This record gives sequence, structure tokens and C-alpha cells, in this order.
Amino acid sequence: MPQRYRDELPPQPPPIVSAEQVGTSDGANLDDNDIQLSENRPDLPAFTTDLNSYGVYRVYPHGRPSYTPDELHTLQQVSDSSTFVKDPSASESRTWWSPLGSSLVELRENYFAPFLNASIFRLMSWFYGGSNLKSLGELDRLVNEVILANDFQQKDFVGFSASRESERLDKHEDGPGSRLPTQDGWIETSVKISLPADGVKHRSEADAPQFSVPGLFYRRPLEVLKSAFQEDAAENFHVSAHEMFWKPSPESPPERIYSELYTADAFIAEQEKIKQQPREPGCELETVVASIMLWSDSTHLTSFGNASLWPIYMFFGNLSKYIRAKPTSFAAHHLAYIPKVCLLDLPQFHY
Amino acid sequence: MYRTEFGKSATAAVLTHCKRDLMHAIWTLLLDAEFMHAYVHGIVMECIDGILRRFFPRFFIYSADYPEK
Repeated sequence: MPQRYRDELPPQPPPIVSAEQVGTSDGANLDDNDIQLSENRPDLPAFTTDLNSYGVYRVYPHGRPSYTPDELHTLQQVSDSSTFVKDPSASESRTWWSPLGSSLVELRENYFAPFLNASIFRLMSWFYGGSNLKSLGELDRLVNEVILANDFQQKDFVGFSASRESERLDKHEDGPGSRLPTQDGWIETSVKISLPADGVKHRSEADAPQFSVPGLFYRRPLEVLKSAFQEDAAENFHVSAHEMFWKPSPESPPERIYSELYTADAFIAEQEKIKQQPREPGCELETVVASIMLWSDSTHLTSFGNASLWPIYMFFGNLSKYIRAKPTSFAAHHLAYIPKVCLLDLPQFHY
Repeated sequence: MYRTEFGKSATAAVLTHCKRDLMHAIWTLLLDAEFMHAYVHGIVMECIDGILRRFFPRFFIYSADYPEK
């Protein structure tokens, strides 16, 4: 095949355990012990990995890393297209609702809310979903997704009224907190701000009139962080910062590669700082930087009309950008929804 | 409320100030005492490989469009 038709696939990351090390270390158990020990000695010499097929290698400043997600590396992880066939064995560790909370218990146990039972939920969801024209395809959907469903029961429709059911939906949408359950750590609160006015002096900010902004939904960042590092998707998190180099040939000088957050100087410097600071009394555990990245911007929810949200998203820099940036990885964590303030609520328009 | 308090409407500058204050108030709420304790002393969590590690939350990116703009 001509060269130009050949596809060069991304290579595996540089190997952490070199061939000779495996040979001398007598199996995996001993290897694990080595790793365990290395955690407690931040003064270890830097550990350099072997080169991968592209001549890329890593330097871990504090010895061999205690954990690396590299063994889980697959081509699937670094590629994404709607035309790709999904690998059924690939673990989809995060679901579409996971950015909102780790469990969303309510959704699983009571998925037909606000409808009274699954049959009505199915019928209504058929009615509102799909195409709004009668078609053979829609008829198929009615039979397959509603009538043939295991939880479809004729008796559920005794006394059914379409307008009452659609009203139920409208009311549910307006209910406070209906979509952000407290079980997942969502807190609804209001925040107070002090109001200023031109030419009006107060002795201190506390003396100025306070305006309470209602409707702030948020999750406590530490709770989000804890769940993020302990759920299954955390298997892809890097715990050790490292430098990455490229050496195209054995003679050429190494060239630094800047790519991920965990290969950046800022991350390495912060890790250094944390390793240098005095340990918590009695704590011999490895210290790790949990790198937080925050994004916030207004987002429109509809093409027509002006329904919008102002979320604060939290991402983790311990996760490779190739995974993080894939929409299907659902790597975002929703931290808060900023209420729309002053424009509507501030008295200027109301009073 | 603004009018009853000050006898005049809020100016654009005041509205901008309020939106900025709101953002600060939200962050004061988010970065609570428990988070700040974890920032200084770290928190111990069991990782996916079963090993306990002490994590220090650090902010590397804060990229936001402010409501006041």
C-alpha cells in the first residue's frame, strides 16, 4: 500500500516498567512492594521511563509513580467520532447524568416522575419525543417503546386525561429543586449582597441595605472532588506530575513536550511545594495534587426563546485532555448554577 | 426595594457592581471552611487502586465569563 494511505496510529504511552526490571523482580508481587515503598520517600531520585515507539519518554521527579492509568490506554480513549463503531467492552464509566451528581437516585428509582406510573410515562414520552408528524416510523416507536414495554399495563390508563398529564409535566418543571436532588449534594440557597447608591454614605458595608438573591444551586466543591476521585472514572487520573520529552534518535538532544496539565511546570512546581511542606503529624501517605479547573459561562438552552443557565463547571487536570475533552466522557462536574440577578429582580424594574 | 431604600433607581454601574458582588458572594460560599482546611492540610482518600493518598486541591485554571459584563 502506498505510504500516503497508511494511517499512523497513536502509540502506547512510554512504559513505566522496563523489560529488564520485570525480569529481575520475580513477578508482580514484588513489583507492587517496590511501588508501595516508593510512596513514602519523596527524596527518591527522578525516575525515567523507557522510550515508546515515537521516542517519547517521561521523567517522574519523585521516583516511580505509585499509580498510572497508562496500562488502561486504548485507541478508543484517544479517538472519538460519531461514525466509529463503539467497542462494547470499553467501559463507559460515566453516564450522561453523572455531571449533575454521582447517583441521581431519584432518576433510577422513580424514573417516571412526575407521572404516576411507567405506562403513562412511556406514552407521554412517545407523544413529546420523535417527530410531530404521524409516520410509519412513529407508529413503530409507539408499538415497540410503549405497548410492548415490560412495564406497560392497560389498567394504568383508567381515568386517563391527556391534558391533565401534560399539566403535571408543566407543574413539575416549575417545582423548586425538582431536577437537582439533595441526595446528590445539591443545596439551594440565597446569597446576600450589599446595595450601594451614588452619593449615599454608610459607615461600613455591613450598614448598607442588603439584597438577597434567591435560587442559587450549588454543590460543595470538596464533596464533588471526593466523589470524582473515588468513582470508577478515576482510574484514568494521573497522581504524579512528570515531564515529557521527545528524543527522535538516540543521538539527538531531548526536547520537552508540553501537553497535559500534569506535565506542565505549574503542576510540577505545586507538587514540589506540597512535598516540601511539613507532613501532617503521623501521616506517611503519598501527597497528590488534585488539580481543579473551573469554567463558567452563560449557556443557552434553546434555539428560540431565552431560557439559559449560568453554570460553573469543575474539571480535573489529573485526567488526560484527550479523555476530558470528549463529550462522551462526561468529565465535567457541575458545581453551581448562578442565579440570574439584578436585571430582573433588582427593584429598578419591579418597584 | 432599591427605590424605597434610596429614593431612586439603580444605575447601570450599580447593577454591574451588584452582579460582581454576587459572584464574590457565591465563591465565599463555595470555598467554605472545610474546603480551605483541605487546601492547607489535604484530605485523605482511598484511590481506585485501594491505596490511601493525601490530596491537596489546587486551582490551575479559572476561565469565566462574568455575569457583570
